Amino acid sequence: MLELLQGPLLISILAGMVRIATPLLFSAMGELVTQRAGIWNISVEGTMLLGAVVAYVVASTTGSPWLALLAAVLACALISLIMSFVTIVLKAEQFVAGLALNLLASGLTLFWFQTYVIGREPPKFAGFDQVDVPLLSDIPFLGPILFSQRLLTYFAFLLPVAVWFFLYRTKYGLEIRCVGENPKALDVKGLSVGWRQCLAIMFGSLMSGFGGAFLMLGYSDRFVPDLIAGRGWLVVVAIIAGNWMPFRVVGAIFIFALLEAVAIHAQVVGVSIPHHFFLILPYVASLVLLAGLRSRTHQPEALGVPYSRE
Amino acid sequence: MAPNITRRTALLGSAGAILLAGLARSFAAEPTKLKMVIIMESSVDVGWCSTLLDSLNKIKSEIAPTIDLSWEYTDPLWNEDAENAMRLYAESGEYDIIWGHGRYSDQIKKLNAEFPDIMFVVAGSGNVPIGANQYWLYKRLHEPSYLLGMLAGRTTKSGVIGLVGTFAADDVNDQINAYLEGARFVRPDIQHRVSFIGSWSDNALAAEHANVQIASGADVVFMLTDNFKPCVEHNIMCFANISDQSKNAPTALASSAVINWEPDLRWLVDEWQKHKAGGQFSGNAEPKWFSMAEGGTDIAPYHEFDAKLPDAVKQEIAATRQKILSREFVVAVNTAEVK
Repeated sequence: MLELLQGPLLISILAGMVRIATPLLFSAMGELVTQRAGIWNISVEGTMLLGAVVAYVVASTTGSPWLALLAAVLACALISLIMSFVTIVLKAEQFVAGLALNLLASGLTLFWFQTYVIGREPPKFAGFDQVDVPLLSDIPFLGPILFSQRLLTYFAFLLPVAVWFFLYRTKYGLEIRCVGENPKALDVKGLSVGWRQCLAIMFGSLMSGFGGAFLMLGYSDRFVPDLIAGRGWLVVVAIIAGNWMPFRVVGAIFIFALLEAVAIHAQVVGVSIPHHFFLILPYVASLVLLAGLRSRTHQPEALGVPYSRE
Repeated sequence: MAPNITRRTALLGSAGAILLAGLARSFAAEPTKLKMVIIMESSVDVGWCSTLLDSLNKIKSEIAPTIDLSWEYTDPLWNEDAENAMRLYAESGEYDIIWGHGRYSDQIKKLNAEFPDIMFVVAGSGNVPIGANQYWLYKRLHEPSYLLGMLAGRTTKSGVIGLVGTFAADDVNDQINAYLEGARFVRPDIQHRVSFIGSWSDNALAAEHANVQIASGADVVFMLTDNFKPCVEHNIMCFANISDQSKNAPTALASSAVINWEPDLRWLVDEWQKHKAGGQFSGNAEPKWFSMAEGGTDIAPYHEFDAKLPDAVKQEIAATRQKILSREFVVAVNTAEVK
């Protein structure tokens, strides 16, 4: 186990952690804003999948990963309107609506993908390549960890700061938090609760689109229907484990990502512990975090409660 | 006798003879219809499924004089959905073979006795023997994997080769062991990195495993998972399995260990014909696999790497392949999990 702490392997572990955390950070920051606005949108997994398939289709059609990214986030923003309509207008049970949207996204993506590739080889596409930041990537130890990543990773790492600033230092952020805690107070002031929740859902879906598109364009050379592989659910767990606080959510995500990176490295270098143990580590950690950090909850008071003006 | 036959009689007789001969010929040449439906485990672009469809197309023309083979296939179905689909297909009475292309013996166990005249087929690991009208196909890629191991051993500069696996399953372990054995045969001091992602299709995780293997020194990686982006990015040589995947990463994929379903299909058609002729189905109790010599597997061409690989190495691989085909050399099946 100690060999994992040796220089090159330690660098590899931490660089892997950064890569693994990137799509989770995108989706988690989006979902955090949605949940702070009082909406339990658990369709992160399905939305990420939608983002991934749209990114694939557009990238393989146009050859432009940036256009593919744009299309992916727009498609996810668009599908968020379904969630908004069902939960804000129809005031349906949010958990059930989220599950339904996951199923819809799963079915739609498989259908689109098969329709797109039917009878031919799945088309190839160009994704995002690793970018070595000049000079900074040469810094010993930190350079390969932080400055030899894909461009989207830098954006993902700035995102928590931006989300924190938005939620805690801006008027609109305060309104979003107020919607999640006490929507009536906002309504009394003549501000629209539904409109703010709709925008929060849209932002969350849009960010999930970034996450899904990153998994597609930054990690893969083909689309597979199981591409997201539970990462959307892990995001929901990270938000609960992070107690709905931006930097704690980031902390939870880094713990998951670090454990996964350690698990992979331990397997590869042949640490004498069964690899199955390492495979379950991130999930065990999520349970431990859930159990340990839930004593003082910061869960928004009105989370999951449809708002109706009396 | 001949002078007594009138011209008209002769003409009518000839026409009748021609008609009868034609009818007899058309009856004799009428191929037997054989219709099958395939319950797919994954989408048809995945090698496991696409190779079967390729083989079906090849076999269809091969057996066309005697068998009119036709098939349909489903979207990916599992568990109860697969069972319900199988039941509906069986009850329709239209299908002679219901093929679960993956782990489906649990579903077939509930149906096969009820439909004794239908041949049920399952493929791959995770199935259980039922016998009777269930036929269990298996794929062992240890022989081509051995050849790829030799290629890895001959071409690695670091002396470290990698392998990213899905699960440590029986039909994954045999490939890994053979690959390592082939590499050790040509380079006894070779070191290896082996890891399992614990999924059949988590591409991102597969990429991470490959990245780590490369970071820890591996410069040739056998990807039993389908994602070759790390090979391209790090400019290292990789191998694939199941189907020839060179098109996915022509600059990185040197070759693939590929499966062919033609011998399996020929065997099944023979078994089905025996039943059709009045015999009983006698489904195999042990998984049935066809060796490289029997046409069940092979290595794919080198494509772009044909010009890059040393001739001596290619000749050595070709010579070993010939020995395997002639059964002069036997690659042992070793399904022990590699640590």
